Amino acid sequence: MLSAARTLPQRAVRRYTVVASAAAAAAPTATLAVRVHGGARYADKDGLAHLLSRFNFQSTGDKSALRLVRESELLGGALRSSVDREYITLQATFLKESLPYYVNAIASVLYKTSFKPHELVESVGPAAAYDLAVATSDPVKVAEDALYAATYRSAGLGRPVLFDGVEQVTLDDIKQYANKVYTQENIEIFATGVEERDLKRFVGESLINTLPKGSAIKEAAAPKAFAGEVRVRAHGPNVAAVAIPAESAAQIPELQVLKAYLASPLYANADALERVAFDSFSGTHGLLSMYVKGADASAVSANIKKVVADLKAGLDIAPAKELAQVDAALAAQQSAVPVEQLALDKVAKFKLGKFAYSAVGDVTQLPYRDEL
Amino acid sequence: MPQSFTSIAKVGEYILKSPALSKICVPVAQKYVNLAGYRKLGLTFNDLIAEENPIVQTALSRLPEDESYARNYRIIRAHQTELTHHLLSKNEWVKAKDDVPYLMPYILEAEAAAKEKEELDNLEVVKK
Amino acid sequence: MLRTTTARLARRSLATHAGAAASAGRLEITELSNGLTVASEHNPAAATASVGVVYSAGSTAENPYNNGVSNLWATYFGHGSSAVQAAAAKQGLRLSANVARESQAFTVQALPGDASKALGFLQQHLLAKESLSDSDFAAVQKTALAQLEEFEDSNHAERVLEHLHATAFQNTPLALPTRGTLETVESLIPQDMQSFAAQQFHAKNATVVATGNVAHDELVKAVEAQVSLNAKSGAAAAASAPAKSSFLGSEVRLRDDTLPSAWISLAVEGESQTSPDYLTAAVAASIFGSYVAAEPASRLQGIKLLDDIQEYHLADSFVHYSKSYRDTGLWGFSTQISNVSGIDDMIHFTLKQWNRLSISITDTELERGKALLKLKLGNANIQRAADAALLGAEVVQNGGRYLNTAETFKKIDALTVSDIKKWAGNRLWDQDIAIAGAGQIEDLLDYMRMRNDMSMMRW
Repeated sequence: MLSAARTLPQRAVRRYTVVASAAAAAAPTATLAVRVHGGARYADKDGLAHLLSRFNFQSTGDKSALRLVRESELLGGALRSSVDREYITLQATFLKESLPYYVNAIASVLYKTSFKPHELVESVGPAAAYDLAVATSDPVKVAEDALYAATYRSAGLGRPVLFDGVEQVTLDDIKQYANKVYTQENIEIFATGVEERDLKRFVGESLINTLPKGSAIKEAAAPKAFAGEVRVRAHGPNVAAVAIPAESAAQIPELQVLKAYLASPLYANADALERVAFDSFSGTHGLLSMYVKGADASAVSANIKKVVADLKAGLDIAPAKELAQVDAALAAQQSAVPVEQLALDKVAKFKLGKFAYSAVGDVTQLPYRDEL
Repeated sequence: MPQSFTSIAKVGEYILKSPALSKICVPVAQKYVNLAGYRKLGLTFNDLIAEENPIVQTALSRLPEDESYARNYRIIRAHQTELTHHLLSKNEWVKAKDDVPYLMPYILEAEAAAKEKEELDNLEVVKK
Repeated sequence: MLRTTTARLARRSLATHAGAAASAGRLEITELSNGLTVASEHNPAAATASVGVVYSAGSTAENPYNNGVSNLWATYFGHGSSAVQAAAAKQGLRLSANVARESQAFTVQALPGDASKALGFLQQHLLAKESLSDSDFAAVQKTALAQLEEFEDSNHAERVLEHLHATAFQNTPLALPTRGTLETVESLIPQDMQSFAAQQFHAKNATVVATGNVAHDELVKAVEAQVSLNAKSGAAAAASAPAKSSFLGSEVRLRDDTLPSAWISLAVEGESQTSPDYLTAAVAASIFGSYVAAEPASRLQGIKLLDDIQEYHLADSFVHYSKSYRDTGLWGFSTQISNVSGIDDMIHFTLKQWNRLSISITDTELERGKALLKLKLGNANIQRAADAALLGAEVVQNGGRYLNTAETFKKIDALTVSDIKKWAGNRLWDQDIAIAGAGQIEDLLDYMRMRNDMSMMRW
């Protein structure tokens, strides 16, 4: 009833990366992830990548969104598309024997999504608005966006990930962006729980192999980090946040370890921090961010001052090396896409240099950057 | 269950494709349009389609803003004209080239989607 | 009970896997002479190793006076920045602990090769620990109370489920909340933790579990060398087994019009862990599945109920579940509703769909339910590799009956529409229901109105 793999003429050259990992070879399910270098930092308009991500798995030339969902659930699979600053990731989790079906499903999303005007209004738009509503109701998320804006200003990484309607985006913009990023050079395919041979064969026979050739997307200039400050007045809990940029590949391991250190009881004031996060971009840049949250603005002020004072005084983060490794291994195990391995040998002591700052909430009561 | 627009559109296409049939049907249709007189009230044929059903409602909601505005204007003007027992002045009559099926593509799409949903809702699984 | 099951499983799993040495994630169970069970699922490709100890005693082993004491042990081991956490961080270990109704797990996640270090840590900081100092106890109690308060204030969906258990199994052990309540946790004293540990944390009650990159033989050796547990006599252990739990149709309403939505959970008595209909109930729950209004793909699912819900936006989300315990279970659904004037319709249409399970469920719906259940069970295989607590839950609660995925899939495939109809006819049609609701539930009809929807006069 459901059609299996369609055969298409095999092309000789394959430029995109195909990686299969046998990590879960015995499990009856498999994951297929296609990672597109087309996250928010590469989009020409704010929120464009988010809308494109939400358009994934809508109607294509082959089948409607409804038919895809109905067929997929009968085969025992689930589809998901997510966006961040670096990537748009299309992911399918399914019972192993349906691999060809899901390779083709993702291929036809990349190759011939219909971009119907009414889908933008009836389905994509409301879903994007919901994503935004969820994010803006969380002051930590708001502070995170503010930190990126303070650090990278209007360059790619400083832009918001989610579409907020401030900048107009039309259906044509989305179509053009899809044509730009969905090219052979710009995608990577990862799978777990399948044979690499099978994966390569099915991908070779799928529309992915006939995706147009383009060029790997790059930002015009390398991101430049500033020691900025952004303050957002808002109702609800207060958040004061600090971000430390990594401006070269060499700084990344240090910040990874610092993240593990700050989030663990090894750090005496770990209780003060609501969240510590680290994101790396293209392996050459990254941003470590930490958030102090609370209903009482004076407590938040005191805590953020304490944390920054500790960082300025210098911290011996070496004891957290192993913890950072465990965290990385756990993240790698739970992710369908590979997580970079760490070279932690040189990490020893951390002293705060350049940092950006953001405050969300009752900002009159929260400190300024130069008061930290 | 009234006939679907999809089947009507199909018959229309069939007639237009066959030279013999269109030779008979097209003049009759034109005569009918003239006698019906809706163009003299400033309406197009698609303005007359009954809209009190989910399919046409969906189609109307997907109409671009300018077309939706023009449609409403035509309908209100026709009501006013009818109420006062007038016809529009001859230069305001809708010309044949302007009587375009602006709503039909949306109706056909909505009908196709509804039919597909119906099919998928009643899907039978065949065990191999 | 547990003893015999595990022993049987050990033999079977060894027999099954003898030839398939290369296959990853194989389950092996060994029972040691001191009564301790060691279970592991070895996956040589995994990037981590997870080792833990699971006791077959959860909140059902507590009583109304020491309710929450397991939660304190879990908080001591797995949360906050206590001395234990700091010690673990120094050694590069991640700790976690959770309390379920009939088990509690304490796990350590480490790099491959550190399994024996992790075991040593468990022994030193948990197994050998009989009581906490007064200051440690005060800190743990404070953390637990803060977490409880946040849970009560913000996690309404879970809170409703706890209350559903409290009403459905009233006056029996399953009624006790896994976290305890603010009142009970506040009234606990250090001796409560000590006496609970003395009574429950002994070898016969414990299973050492490991998943990920841990070889079973090495694990058994390390356990024999490093782990020593309070070896209580079998008779005393039997005496501490909790009383039987039983289901009672009833309701509890926590109306609060200051909250933005209504959270409701409604269930009939489900299947116990040992029931032969365990999988039938799971498939039945999977047929009605789950729904999130904000997610476009979720709106397109082949669940007949969705047509009614979407036309009038009756619910923001729902999820059907089949929960099983030692003596009984719960089969039902939880929903969040922001359109609070439509609660009666939501419940009505949902229960009318439940009626269809006894009358007119189709082959396609059944196939959909089976496929999605298989996906869920298959994914659990992968999640287990990173967290031994999940393996522990399967082994201790389900006796490892569903760990052989291939076999379980075969059983699921064998289910037919008439099996489902028969099950629903017995368990669902015209049966008593338990209801719990929180938030703006003015529109939640009275008990009998909903109870009447469990059957139809004609169809």
